[in-house]
Amino acid sequence: MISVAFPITSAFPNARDASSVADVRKDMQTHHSVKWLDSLDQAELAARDTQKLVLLDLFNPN
Amino acid sequence: MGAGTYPKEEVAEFIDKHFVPVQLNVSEDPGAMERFHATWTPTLMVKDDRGREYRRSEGYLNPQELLAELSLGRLKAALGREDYEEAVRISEDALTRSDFDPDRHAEARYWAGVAEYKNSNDAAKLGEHWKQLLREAPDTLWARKASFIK
Repeated sequence: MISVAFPITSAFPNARDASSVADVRKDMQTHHSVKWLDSLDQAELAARDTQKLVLLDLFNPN
Repeated sequence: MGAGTYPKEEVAEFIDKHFVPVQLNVSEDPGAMERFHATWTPTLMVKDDRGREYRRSEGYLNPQELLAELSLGRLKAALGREDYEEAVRISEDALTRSDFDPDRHAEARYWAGVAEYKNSNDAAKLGEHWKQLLREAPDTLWARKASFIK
């Protein structure tokens, strides 16, 4: 049997060990993310290529 | 919104399907507020690839509100590029997604009427939507905008 090391705790911090399947599942279900660009020019080019609209979010993290 | 709204699966999927999302951090790029004539954060804008703005929202939105806003943004963009058949289709989505919110639903009903009218050139279709708007949400801003058809 070949065992493969998988850094599951770094990817899913709720999983304190690999046996915590429920916690891993919970993390997988909640880790959806919007893939934001940080350049409007790039976004407009991508929108042209994909025929999508641009969603621009001005935010302040402070 | 980064903590509670954007991570929701339905939100992320909707944005990925219909938009190219870009975030500008105004604490690192303070000129962004002036460039986009913004006065508060978060400010969300739906724009096309040439920079034309179709919709703007200021302040926090929960997932349901954001989806309704983005659907209305898609509707306004379809109207703006005169793709009226698509606008009619999107208006159905906007009506569904705004069903929980009387103000946004009234706005979706208003623009659904415009989309139907523009697509068919039949003023009766505009009247159907707007009369429904006047019946269902008479106290809204959007009903007042449509009230001249009484």
